[in-house]
Amino acid sequence: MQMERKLLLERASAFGQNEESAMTEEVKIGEELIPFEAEITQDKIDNYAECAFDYNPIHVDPEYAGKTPFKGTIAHGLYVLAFASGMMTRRFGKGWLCGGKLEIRWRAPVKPGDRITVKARVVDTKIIDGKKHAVCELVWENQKKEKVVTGTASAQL
Amino acid sequence: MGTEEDYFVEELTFDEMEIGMEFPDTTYALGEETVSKYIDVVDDRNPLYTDEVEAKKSGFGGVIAPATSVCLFTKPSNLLSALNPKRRPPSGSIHVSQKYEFINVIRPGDVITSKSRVVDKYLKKGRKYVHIGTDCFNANGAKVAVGESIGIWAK
Repeated sequence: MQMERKLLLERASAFGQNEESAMTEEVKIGEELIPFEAEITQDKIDNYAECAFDYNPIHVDPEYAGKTPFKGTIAHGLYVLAFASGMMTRRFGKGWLCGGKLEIRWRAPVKPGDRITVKARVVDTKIIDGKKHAVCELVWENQKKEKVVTGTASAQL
Repeated sequence: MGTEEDYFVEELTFDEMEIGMEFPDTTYALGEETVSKYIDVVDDRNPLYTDEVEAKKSGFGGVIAPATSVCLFTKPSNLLSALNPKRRPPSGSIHVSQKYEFINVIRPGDVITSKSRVVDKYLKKGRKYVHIGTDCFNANGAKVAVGESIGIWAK
């Protein structure tokens, strides 16, 4: 119950000046961010394709994609990458939006029907370009617990 | 990588690129409808993007767009398509990793100019690695984001 309250408070402090200072001071090494979960569907991939104007058939044409080694469509890598930004924005607000750094590696394809969970944990605080940052390790896992994306993200404190 | 018709566009091969080679600037207007659809697709539902009152409290002066909106127009295929004639990454190339730095907020309606170049290319274990760096600026000339795409080029 206490954990739930803590999570709610974290959500509430994603914006708002009063919370901002408290929010960044509370960062502790080992802290886990609220995980992000997504169900990948062809509809969502198609909508992403519209946003990015990226209609590569490997993403949007099941018949074409079915004949490739992937045996079906795959999500755009940058679509899957974006899940991290929502988590970091909720937790760090301005420190992510103006001062955030992200570095990721795609390791396996994400397909319609996949359930992706993104977990992030604060592993360090360090000075980058003269400013203190919280450094998080991130991992995107599918429903089979396969790591599909891994990376690090840092936000200014 | 654009539309299916883009597959008739000539590929830009590893050997044709040199470190320091610059691509023409690209300019992209981030429409409100696109931002709205993007927020929905990536499920990043922060009031900063939709609630004018909450966004003002945040100190940004109004609603903003998600930091990763730059992903929509900084992928290598977009950058290469600015070449004249238009080019594209070779079929079978793999985008293996990506870096971003988010420097200033982007807003719905912003017009963003991207300046990009080949920052590195090398062979590793027989694979052709290409790093393309991109700096994104808003209409006031403020740098909003920096990206670096790392790909294994198929040709």
